[in-house]
Amino acid sequence: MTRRLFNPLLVVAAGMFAAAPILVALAPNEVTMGLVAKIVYFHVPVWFMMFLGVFICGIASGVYLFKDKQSADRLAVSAAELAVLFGLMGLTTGPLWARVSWGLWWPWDVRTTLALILELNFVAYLLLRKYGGPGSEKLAAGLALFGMFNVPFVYVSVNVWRTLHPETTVVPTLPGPMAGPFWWCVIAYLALFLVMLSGRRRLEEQRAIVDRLRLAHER
Amino acid sequence: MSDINFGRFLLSWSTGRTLKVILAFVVSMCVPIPGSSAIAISAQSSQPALEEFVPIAELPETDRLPAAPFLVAAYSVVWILAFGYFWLLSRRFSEVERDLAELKNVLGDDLDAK
Repeated sequence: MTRRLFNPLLVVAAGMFAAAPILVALAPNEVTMGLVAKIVYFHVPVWFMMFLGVFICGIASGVYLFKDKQSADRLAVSAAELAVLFGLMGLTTGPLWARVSWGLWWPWDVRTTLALILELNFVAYLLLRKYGGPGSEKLAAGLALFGMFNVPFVYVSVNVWRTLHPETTVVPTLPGPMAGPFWWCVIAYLALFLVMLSGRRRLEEQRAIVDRLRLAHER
Repeated sequence: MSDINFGRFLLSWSTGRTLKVILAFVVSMCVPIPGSSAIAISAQSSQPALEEFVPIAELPETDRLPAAPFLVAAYSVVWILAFGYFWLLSRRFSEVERDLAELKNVLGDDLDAK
């Protein structure tokens, strides 16, 4: 299923990415922040994809923990890697926006700090998978579940605590000329995410075949 | 020269002298200086409180940062990371396919020998 969808998704993602800068350039400037606010068109979608990666990893880890499905574990590790990648994009683009609009690179407010902790959570997951040795898959799955439950706190933190970040009401209330390019970018990043997830999962499947053949060879 | 200094540092560390110096520094930073908080409060209260945002367009030119380089940098970071990940993925695929081919060859030879 995912293998059949890979090529069409790749074409869709490439096409949408090619058009995205033009749409972003044509979109009107935000009134208080000016040109730099256009970072919103890729800063917010990358965080959406980070959260998606975290949810997929968390749910797949839960399935692996309670049902012991190896395919779920392969999906979890693939999604965790993408969560870290998109989180890194968000953590890099955010300070570039903050430097111009707030005058500082990193405010250490609740949203940014929780987002950093979430990113470190999944970096820890990957480190555990790589260097934890046999049995670390279950520990890592527990860590992924913990990370997933952190996401709602990251999301609502701007509404609960005082912070420099805009509240969660900004995206649903974007005016038409800004909402169009924004949702275009969200779909483009979603296509990119699915292409990457499909490729990464295929890699894990290939690795599992290699491991099985090695075991057969040793016997 | 630097070796001697490093050696002395290690020696002082081993006798705990450096630790004592660091501890004394940390403690001295924590001790409140009489009147310092009052000075800080009076300095804060002398400035008028900001009641609202000042839009970027209303700031003097000297206070503004050029936005375009930051926007381009942010977009470039996303592209570089995305392409970098695809490159990394293709490298890992090549490695796995090479391992797979080698194992299939070896297992094929074993099977032939049997």
